[in-house]
Amino acid sequence: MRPPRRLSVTRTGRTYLVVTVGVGLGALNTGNNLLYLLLGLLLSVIVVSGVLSERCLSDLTVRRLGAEAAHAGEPFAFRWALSRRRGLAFALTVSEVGAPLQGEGRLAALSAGAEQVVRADLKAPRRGPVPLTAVKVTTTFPLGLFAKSRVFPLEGTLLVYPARGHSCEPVPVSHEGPAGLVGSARLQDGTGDVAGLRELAEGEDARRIHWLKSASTGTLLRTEREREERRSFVLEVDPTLPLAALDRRCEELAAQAQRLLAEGHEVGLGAAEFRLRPAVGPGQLRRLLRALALVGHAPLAQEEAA
Amino acid sequence: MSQPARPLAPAFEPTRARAQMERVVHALERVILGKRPQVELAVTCLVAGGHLLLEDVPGVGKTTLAEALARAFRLSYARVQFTSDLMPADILGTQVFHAASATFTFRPGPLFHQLVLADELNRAPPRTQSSLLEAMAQGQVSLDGTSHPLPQPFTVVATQNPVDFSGTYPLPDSQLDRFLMRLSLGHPGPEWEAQLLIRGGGAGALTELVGSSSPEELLGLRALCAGVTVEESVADYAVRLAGATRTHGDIERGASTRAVMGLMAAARARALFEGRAFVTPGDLRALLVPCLAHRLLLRSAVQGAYSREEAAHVLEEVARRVPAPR
Amino acid sequence: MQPRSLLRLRLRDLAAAFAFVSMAVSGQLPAPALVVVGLGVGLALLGRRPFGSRGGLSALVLALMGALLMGAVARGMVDLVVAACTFAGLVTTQRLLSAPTPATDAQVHLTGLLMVAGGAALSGELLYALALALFATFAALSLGLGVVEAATPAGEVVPVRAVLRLLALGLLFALVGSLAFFVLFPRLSWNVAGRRVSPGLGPATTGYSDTVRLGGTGTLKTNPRVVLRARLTPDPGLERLDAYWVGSTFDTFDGTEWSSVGEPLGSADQVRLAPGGEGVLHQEVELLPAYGATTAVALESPSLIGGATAHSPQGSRRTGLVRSPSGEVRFAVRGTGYSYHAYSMPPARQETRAARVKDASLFLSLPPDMDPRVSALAARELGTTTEPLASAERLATYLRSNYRYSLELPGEVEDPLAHFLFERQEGHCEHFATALAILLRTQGIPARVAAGFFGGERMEGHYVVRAGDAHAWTQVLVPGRGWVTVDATPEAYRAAQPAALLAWLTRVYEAVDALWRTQVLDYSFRDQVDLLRSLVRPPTSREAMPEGRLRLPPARAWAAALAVALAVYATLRLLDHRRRRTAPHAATGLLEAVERELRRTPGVWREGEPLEELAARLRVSVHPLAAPVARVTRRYLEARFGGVSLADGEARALARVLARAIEARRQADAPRSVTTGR
Repeated sequence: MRPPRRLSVTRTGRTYLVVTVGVGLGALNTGNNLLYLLLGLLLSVIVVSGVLSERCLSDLTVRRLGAEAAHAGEPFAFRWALSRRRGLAFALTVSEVGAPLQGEGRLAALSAGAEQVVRADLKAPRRGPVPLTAVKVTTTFPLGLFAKSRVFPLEGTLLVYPARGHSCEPVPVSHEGPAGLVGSARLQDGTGDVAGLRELAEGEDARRIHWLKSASTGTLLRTEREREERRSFVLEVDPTLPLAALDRRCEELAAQAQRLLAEGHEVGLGAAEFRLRPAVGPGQLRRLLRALALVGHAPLAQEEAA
Repeated sequence: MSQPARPLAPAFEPTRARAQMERVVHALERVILGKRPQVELAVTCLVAGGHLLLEDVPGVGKTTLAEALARAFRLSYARVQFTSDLMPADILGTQVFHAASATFTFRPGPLFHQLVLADELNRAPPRTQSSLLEAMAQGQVSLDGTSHPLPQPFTVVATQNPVDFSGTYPLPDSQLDRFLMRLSLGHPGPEWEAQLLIRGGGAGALTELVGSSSPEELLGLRALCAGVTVEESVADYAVRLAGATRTHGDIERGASTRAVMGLMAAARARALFEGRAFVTPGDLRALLVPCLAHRLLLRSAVQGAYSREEAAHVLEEVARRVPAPR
Repeated sequence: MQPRSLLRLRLRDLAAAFAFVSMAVSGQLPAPALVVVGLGVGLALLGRRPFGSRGGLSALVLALMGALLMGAVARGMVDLVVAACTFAGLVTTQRLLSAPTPATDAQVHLTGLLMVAGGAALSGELLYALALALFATFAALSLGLGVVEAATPAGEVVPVRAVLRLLALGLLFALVGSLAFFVLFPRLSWNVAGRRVSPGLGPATTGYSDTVRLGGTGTLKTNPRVVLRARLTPDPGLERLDAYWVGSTFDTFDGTEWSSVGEPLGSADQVRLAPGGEGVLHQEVELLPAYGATTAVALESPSLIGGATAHSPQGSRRTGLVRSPSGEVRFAVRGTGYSYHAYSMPPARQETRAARVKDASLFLSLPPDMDPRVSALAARELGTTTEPLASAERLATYLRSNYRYSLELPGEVEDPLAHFLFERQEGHCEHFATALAILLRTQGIPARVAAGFFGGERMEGHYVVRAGDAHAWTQVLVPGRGWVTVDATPEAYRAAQPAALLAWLTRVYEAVDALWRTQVLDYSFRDQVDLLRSLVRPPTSREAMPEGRLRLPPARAWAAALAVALAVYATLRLLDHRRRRTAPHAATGLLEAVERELRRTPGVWREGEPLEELAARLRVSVHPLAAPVARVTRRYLEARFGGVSLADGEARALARVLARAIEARRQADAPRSVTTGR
C-alpha cells in the first residue's frame, strides 16, 4: 500500500525502548496506575513519532542534480533537489545508496511547493564511473528515537575523475622540430585555426601573409595560428595495467595534463585504440579527465562533440 | 517621492519609469516568446547601464534578443561577428590618411553604435576581446593618443557559446567581471516553440517591432536609477552577501567590490521596474545569480571551466545563510 | 554558543526540573536534596554550568552523596525507593551542570524519564499528572529541536517556530493517546499498590487538635484542604451534610484548657462506643495525610468503629484501636493516613436507652478560682428553668444572640472565659462551647465539650470534610437520653469560612483531584471490563448513560491539554519576545503581524519566506490573496526600506485588511472543499 520504508532504532531509541519495557514490567508487577499512565505516554509517543516521521517522508519527490566535477579521494559537492506538494518535512538526511560514496546531505526543513536543493560533500574512493541506483532519504524526526528511511530508485551515473594533487616531473625539452623549411618551431608554418594577426617581421615566410587584412590596413600582416608556439603532447596510458597501477597512472597523467594545459600546450591522449586529438583549453582538460576516468572501466568512445 | 532627483533628471516618478520599462518588456515579449524573466532582466541590465553577456547554445534567440532590445529602445545597432581573424581595428575603427589635406581622419568602427552585439565573443583572439572590453569599461576608444567618445547610451551585448565547444578562447575571469549580468535563455517551452513555427520565426516579428522607447528615455531611466535610495540595512545586506561568497568553502574567489557595486546598480534598476524609489532585499536576492554567478571561481570545478548551475546553487546557499534585514 | 542551542538547553533543563517535581510532589524526598536540586536547576536555567568539563570531581561529589544516602538507608532513616529517587535527582543535577554535549543531553533525558517513573512509584498526587505532562512537553520539544538542529547545515537557520508548532501538535496527540493507552491497556495484575497516602506538600494542617485551649494570639485560618473523605450508606443524598463529626470529648476544664481524665484502655480490632440499633449509618472513612492527628472521627453519635488500616509510605497495615474513657478512639499504629469503618446513630434517633454515665460529678467540676460573675450570669439567664436540655437551649440562644463570632484570637489573658463573657464579647467556636458548658455546670447540669468537625460536602458520591471545618461544641447530659449536642456557636459560623473565589478554586481543584483519584489511581480491570461492556452493549437506560461517559475522563484530558497549550504558548511568546528585541524597526511589527495572519491559512505562506517573494509568487499564480498581500507588502517595504514611515494604527489596519481577505477566502473555500472532498 505504501512505499517500502526502513526503520532502525537509534541509540537514544534503544535506551527509550528499554525504559519503556521496564516501566511496563513495573506497571504489570505493581499494578500502579501511575506507571500505567507513564507507560501509556511512552507508548503513544512511539506511535506519534511513527506518524510524524511518516508525514515527513510521504509525498516526497527527489531529483538528482549531481556534481559538477568529482575527483577521487577528495570531497565534492553533490546535490539533490527535494520537493513536496503539501505539509512540512523536517530533519531530512539524503544519501546515495548502493554506491561507494561517503557522506550525506542534510536539510532542516522542506516546505511544500518549493524545490529545495540539498547539498552534500561526498567522497569517492576511486576514479571511474559510479553507477547510482537509488537515493535514500532518512529522518529521525521528531524525537530522534527511530531513523526512518525511504529509498527512491533513481538511475544515474557519476563519473569520478582521477585524484588530484600529484606532483609530476617537468616535461623534458623536446627535440627540435622536424626537418622542414626552417628548423625552429617558431618559424614553422603553424597549423590549426587562425589565432590572430601581427605585422610581418624581417625574414619571415611570405606564405604567412594574410593578404586581405594587409590590403585593408596597408601594412603586411601575417597570421598567427593556433598551433604556433605550442608543443603537442600525447599522453599514453596502457589500459591493460592492473587496476591499482592503472589508477596511479591515470592520476599522474591527469596532473601532467593539467600542468601542460596551464602552460598553454596541446595535450592529447592515447589509450590502446582510443585517441584523443591534442587540443588546448579547459574544454580539453575536461575531455582528458573524462577519458582518464573511464580508462579500464568502460570502452572509450571517440567523443569529439561531447 | 521625497528624494530629490538630480537636476538633469526629470521629476522622480517611479510609476512612470515602471510604465516605460513595462512597455519595452511587453514589446520584447512578442518577439522573444515565453521568456519573460530573462527579458525583464535584460531590460533591467540596460537600464542599470551595464553590459550583458548571453551564454547559451546556438539557436535559442540570443541574437534576436539583442536586436530586439536595440529596436525597442530605438538604439543604433551594429552586429559584429567575432572570428579568429578579427583585429581590434576591425571593431574600433582606423585612422585614414587623406592625401589631399595630408591629415588623418578617424573612421569609426562598428563599435560606435549605441548597442553593439558582439556575437560569439569567445571566438576572437584575446587581443581583440580585450580591446573591446577596454572600450566597454571606459566608454571611449583611444587610438594613437586621441580619445573618441562612444555614443551614449552605449551597451554591449555579447554572446558566447558554452566553453565545451572547441576552437574558442574563453573569456578570462577579469574580463567577465565587466559584464553586469550573464543570462542564458534556454529552449522555449513546447507551446511557445509551436507558436514560433506558426508565425514563421522571430524575424518577421522583429521587423514589426516598433520602437516603444527612445535612447533619451533610456538615458532618463539611467538618471532615475541614481535617485533610487538604498537603506542602510539593505546596503549592509549586499555587503554581507558578498562577504559570504568570499568565505564560502566552495568558492575559490568570491565577489569583487565591482561585483557588489554592479549588483546594487542592477538592484536600483529593478526597483524602478517594480515602481519603487528604493531598493529592497528582494531586489538583491533576485539579481544575485544573474549578477554574480559568472564572476565566481569555484573550487570544485575543473580549473577555468566554471559552471552555471553549480555557481547558481552555491549562491542560493549563500542567500539562505545570510539573514535578510526585516 | 548559538541562541538556538540555548533554547533547546533551556527546554531540556525545564524537562529535568519537572521530572524532579513529579517526585517532589510526594513530599517524601529529603529536604537537603530538594535544596540541592533546586539550586542546580536554577543555575542551569541561568546558563551557569560550573561543573563544565570537570566530570571527575563532580562525579566524586556525587559518589559521596550516594554513599551518604546508602548510609541513611542502612540506618533505616530513608526508604530505599526514596533514596534511589533522590539519587536520580542528584545525578540529573550533576549532568545539568556539566558541559552540554549530545551524550549529556541524552543522559539528562534518560534520568528525567527514570525520575518520572520514580515519581509514579512515590506519589499519587494530582500534581504528578501536571508534572508528567510538563516533563513530556519540554523533553519532547527539546529532543525534537535537537534532531532538527543536527540536520541543519552549518550556518543555516533552524526553523524553530515551525518545528515547535508541529511538535506541539504531535505532543497533543501523544497526550491524548497516552490516555487511550491508559484506559485500554489490560490490567493483568489485581493488586492495586498505588500510593494514595503520601504526605503531600507541606505539613498536616488540620484545625483539629488533641486539646481545646482558649487564648492564643493571631487569626484562625480557614484551610480548605480536605482531611476526611467518607462514603455513607445509606446515602443521605444531601449536597451539604452539615453534621457533627466527633473526634474527642473533654470533661475537665482548668480555666484555659480542656482535657480528659483516665488512662486509655487496651488495643482492640473494633471499639463499641454505644449500643447500635435501627437506622444505623455506615461510614467508610478515609483520613487523608492532611489530617495529621491519630484520633478516629465519626459522625455523631458513633456506636462502633473498626477495621482500621494505617497507610504509610512503606505500605498499608491493619491497626488496632485504642479507646480512652472519654470515648475518644485512637489508632494504635501511626501512619500518614487511615481508613476504617464506623457506624453511627443518626442524631434524630439518638440513644433511647440512657447511656451509662459512671460519674456525673466529673462533668460538673468547675475550674478553680472561677469568676463569680459566671455563675451569676447563668443563674440570671436561666431563671427558673432547671430541665437540662431546655436550660442548654436557653443559654445557647443567649450566647448566640449576644456574642459575636470572630476568628481573631484574644491573646493570652488571665481568665479567657471571663474575658470572653464580660469584656470582649466575641470569640470563636471554642469560646462558645466552653462558655455554654461551664455556664451549665455552674447550675448543676452535667455538660462537656466535644471537638471534631462540622460540615460535609458532597463530592463524587463521597462527603469530604476540610481542615477549616474543625469545630467545637457542647454536649449536655440529659437523663434518659444521654449526651445531647447543643451548639452555642452562631449557625452561620459553624463550618469553614472560605472566601468566595478561594472556595470556587478549591472546588475546581477538588473536583479534578477526585476524578484523578477515582478515575486514575483506582482504575482497575473491573473498570476496563465495564467500559468494554458499555462500548459493546450501549446502555439502554437513560441513567446509565452519563455513568458510561464518565469513564472517559474529560477533566484530565482538558487539564493536560491546557497545560501543554500554556507551555507551548509561553515558549512561543518567549521566542517572539526575543525576536522583537533584535528587530526594533517599527515596520518589522507590521511584518510580524502579517506573518501571524498568514500562519492562519496553511498552504499559502512558507515559514521563513520573505514577504516580497510571497507577493511575487502569489501574483504569478493569480492567487485570490495576491491583491491584499501585494498591498500590505508594498506598504511594508516602503516603511522599512523606503523611508515612508507608518502612520499611527496603520499597521493594525493593514493587518486587518489581510485578515479579512483571509477570512473571506476561507469562507469561499469551505463549500468547494466539500464538493472536491479534499
